[in-house]
Amino acid sequence: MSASSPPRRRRAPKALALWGDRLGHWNPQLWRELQGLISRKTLVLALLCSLILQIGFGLLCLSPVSNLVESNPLELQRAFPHASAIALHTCLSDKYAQTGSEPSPQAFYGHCSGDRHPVVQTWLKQNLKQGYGFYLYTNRYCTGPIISDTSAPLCLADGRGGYGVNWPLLVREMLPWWRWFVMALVAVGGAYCVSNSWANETKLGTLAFIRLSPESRSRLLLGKLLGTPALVYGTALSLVPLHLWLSCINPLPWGFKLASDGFAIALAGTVLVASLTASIWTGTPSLPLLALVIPLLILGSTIMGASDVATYGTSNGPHAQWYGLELFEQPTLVLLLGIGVLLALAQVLWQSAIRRFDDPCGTPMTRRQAYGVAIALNGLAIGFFFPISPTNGVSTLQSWGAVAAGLILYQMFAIWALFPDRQRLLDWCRYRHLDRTAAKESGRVASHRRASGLGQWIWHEDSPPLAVPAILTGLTMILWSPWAIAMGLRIAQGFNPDRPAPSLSAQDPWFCLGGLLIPTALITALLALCTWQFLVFHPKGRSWIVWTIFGVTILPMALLLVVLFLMDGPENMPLWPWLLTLSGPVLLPQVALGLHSLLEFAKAIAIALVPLALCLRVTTRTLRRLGRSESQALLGDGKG
Amino acid sequence: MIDARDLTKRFDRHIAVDGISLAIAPGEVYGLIGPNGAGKTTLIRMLAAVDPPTLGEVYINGFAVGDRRQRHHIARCIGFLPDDFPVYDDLLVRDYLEYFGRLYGLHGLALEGRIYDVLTLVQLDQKRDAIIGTLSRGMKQRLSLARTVLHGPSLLLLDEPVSGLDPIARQEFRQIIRSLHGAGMTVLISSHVLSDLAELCTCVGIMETGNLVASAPLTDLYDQFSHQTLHLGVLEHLEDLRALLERHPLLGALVVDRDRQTITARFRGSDRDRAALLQDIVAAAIPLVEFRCDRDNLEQIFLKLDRRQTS
Repeated sequence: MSASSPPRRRRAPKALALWGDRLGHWNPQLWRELQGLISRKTLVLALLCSLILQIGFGLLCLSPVSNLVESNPLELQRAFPHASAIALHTCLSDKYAQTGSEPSPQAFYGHCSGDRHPVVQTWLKQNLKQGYGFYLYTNRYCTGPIISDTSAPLCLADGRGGYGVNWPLLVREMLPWWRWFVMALVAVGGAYCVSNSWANETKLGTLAFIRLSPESRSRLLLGKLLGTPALVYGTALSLVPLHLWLSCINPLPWGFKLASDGFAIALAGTVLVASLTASIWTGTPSLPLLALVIPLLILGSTIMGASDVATYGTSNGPHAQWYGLELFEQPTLVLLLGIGVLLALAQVLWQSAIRRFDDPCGTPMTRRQAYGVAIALNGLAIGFFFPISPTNGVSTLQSWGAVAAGLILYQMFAIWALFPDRQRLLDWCRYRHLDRTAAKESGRVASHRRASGLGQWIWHEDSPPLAVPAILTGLTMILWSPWAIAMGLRIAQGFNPDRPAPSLSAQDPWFCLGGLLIPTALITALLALCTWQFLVFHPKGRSWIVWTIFGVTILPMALLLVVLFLMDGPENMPLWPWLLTLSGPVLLPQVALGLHSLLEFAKAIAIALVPLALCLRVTTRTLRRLGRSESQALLGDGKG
Repeated sequence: MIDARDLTKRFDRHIAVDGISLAIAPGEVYGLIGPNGAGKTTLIRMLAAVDPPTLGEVYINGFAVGDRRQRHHIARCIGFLPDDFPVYDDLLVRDYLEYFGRLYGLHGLALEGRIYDVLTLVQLDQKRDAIIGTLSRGMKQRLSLARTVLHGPSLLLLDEPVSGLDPIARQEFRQIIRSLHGAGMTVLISSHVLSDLAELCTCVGIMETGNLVASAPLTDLYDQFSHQTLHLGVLEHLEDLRALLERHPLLGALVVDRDRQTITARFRGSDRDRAALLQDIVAAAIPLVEFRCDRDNLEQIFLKLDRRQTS
């Protein structure tokens, strides 16, 4: 190859070239994405989009406050000849905004300055004389009176010709919407760009080259995440000045405003990471996008809710305590907690994305991650049950059903996320067989073999996750035992004398914890059966395993709900059907509170363990047999 | 350079590669031939660390492929060109190479120089500012090769690099491979165009249904499996020539064509034996007008082995 000097490159602005070179050196993937995207045309398009979005949003927010100002009642009457609604006032307190209830006319009519507005007075009198009815129509965005038909409230001009719009209130309420809007724009637009780009690269087949390079996986994926939605980010950045202006004129504390912004950024970031992860897993753009819309909408409402709480307070609102902190009184704290949860979620998703990118046959999670997430989720959930107050003790016990249901759902997810590829499972059988054979030949101590075998079931990523439901349940039971102790003590001491509790015993919380063993045993038995079928009949994919278990879980639950409806409550039902289905433990608090019996409980657990033992026996024998036959087929050495 | 031991790849119940062991010395051009579905691509992908083997080990320059701690070393050793050579159509040629150069840690003047070198090598230096989408298939293939050698790997793994190219493009591609071999690279190349491989390779491996049925230097392979056919033509004294040849121990049955004054026979000797035979004929004063020895080419050897394997 020639070693002669290369020709000079033509690069217009030197500073830009230097910057590009540095960026390209730091993250080649990011620079490649920017090179593919950024051009004069696309930049102009992004700015144009930004402008249209700002104008559109402004018009949308101003729509409740029409600029049609009219002071002549006759003309108003002509404008609304069939109006059934007329003017009133905005002198309502913020309580109205908080509760959202409609004030009665008697309570407010005649007590507000708006009602004494000469225009309104004249109009009211005329209409009342003519026998028209009227109703109160309020609009918080008008400082003066409002004229309104049912669809278009209009702020009347004040005496000095002003528009009568309550601008501070309007802006204060615009900020959360604006924040939500920008977040949704970044999240949805960005997720589309990321998913689409990944699907294209998958289709094209260029990912193999990138994967072969020595560049770190995290940097490559970060480049993809930052680069492919660059135009969306650019559009969002151009919206920042308006956001800053709205923030500056908003009277709420800066701590809350920054926490809200942080939550919005964390939410958008998590959605983007989730879209990247889903794209790497599915290779198609549509599925991830569809899956992301719902959490985005649900979690996005947190910002709105927190803003409402921060603006109007919560004297009559709902209550929720988390480790003794009143969440609905501290919206900033809620947002900070939310940021923490989202960052943890994003980290798990990010690790999953890197794993899958690095190893296209790998599982979405490692065992260690699955157990860690279970501990974190339990820690989060326990906070809502501590401390046990005298007033809500019984309801707390009843809420245990939600924890049990959450555990079952997480077990389903963990089974899906930890179930290995069939080939890997076969390889694991083979390696295990060879390991055992080698141990037998070398005369290793049997206990060592047993220990290493157990470790394989618990930690090895290629082993079937048969031990996972039990481990997750075990972790849950250990983490919740302080709650069971505290609850038992509280029951022993007695609850609030004003609210006598139903017949409770100090063992009831332990029944709740112990009840988790039943669905765990049944889920594990089903998982063992599905694993056996997966190995023997080798159907494609692993999702069907989860769907099978899910179907078996949901079906009895639905049937029992019907029975429950027909039999008028769980008290009239015998204990057995509940305990023998996966839905039993979800309703176990009710069982524990009214129907429990130690003997019945023990029987139920024993019965749940019988199918588990049978299924595990069949599956482990199959795994051993496959290990033997695989070794023989591949090595042909007769070791099996 | 490459040391593969007992490589096996299973796709569920189908065994694509069945316990292949392969050693390729530095500086070799190793040709991998075999029918469709023989497992060539699977083998190359395992050697390139794209797919993990079900069983077996691969060492490249002493580094274990699949060992994550040695991934960086392996990545720098290998240049892999798959048969479909995907490229980014939206990028300029130089931006494409810059991107991959940076992925391999090249930057600044070193990267500029390297891009210039590889574009010159693949004769695309005039197209450095062209959009890739506007290039022809042959040019894209050469650009992919430029990308493959950009980071200066010591081992090139080329999977069907000339498939779909016209004869001129194939000729150019062969020339580039020769240059790379001349620059000291070890090359493993799979192809259906056996004449190309015969020109390029120093060693050849023949694959059949996941097995390596033969693997040897090309000369050994010719010696072992190739038949030589001797064609002799005279002006006169055909019978004298026939008598002389019938006494020669390295010749098989003679086919005499009296009309054309030619004799054809299978020859089992070396080049030296052939020279001695020629000397004998000249010494016998037979007016020889044709003395030609044809060998079975690679394609015929492959077909022969294929038939043997099938039977």
